[in-house]
Amino acid sequence: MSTARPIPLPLTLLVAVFSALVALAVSGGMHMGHDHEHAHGITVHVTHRSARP
Amino acid sequence: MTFAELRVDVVILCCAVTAGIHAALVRSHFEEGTGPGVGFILASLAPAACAVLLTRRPSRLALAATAVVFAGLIVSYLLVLVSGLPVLHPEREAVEALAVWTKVIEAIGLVVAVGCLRRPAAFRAEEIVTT
Repeated sequence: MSTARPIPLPLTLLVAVFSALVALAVSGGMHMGHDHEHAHGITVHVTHRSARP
Repeated sequence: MTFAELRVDVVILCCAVTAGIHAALVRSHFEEGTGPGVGFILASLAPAACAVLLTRRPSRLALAATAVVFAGLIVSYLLVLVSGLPVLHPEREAVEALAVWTKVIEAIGLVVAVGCLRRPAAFRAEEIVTT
């Protein structure tokens, strides 16, 4: 009988957590990209107060 | 470690990756609606359960269940792209790189799991000791 075992559960959990962090980073980056695209549509109105002597 | 055991490890790691990615996206999908949120909870719990099962009690049945889960996740995503998934994700979704990468991982897991199932001699569960 072989004594080999499947990959340990803690290591599997570590891979899952790392994948989740990468997914969060990537999806967060995508959302920021969308926000950046939306930012092009923002119109800024600047009013100048007339200088008083 | 035999090649067959290594392949089971690959399947377990594919389960871990897809479970982690789906779990990370649960919150953002709940913002879209309850259906997508619940769908992503299921899409993270199912492969996680398969990973635990393959680790604790590796068997042909566990491999078959994992293959079904991977196939289900891939088909579900294709349905979401084409027509939407009733109840869980009724609205169609645009193709995203992260989703495509996740499906690639699931496809690898599916192919390796089916490969293990098609070669009974290569995967003998009784040789993998779990204590």
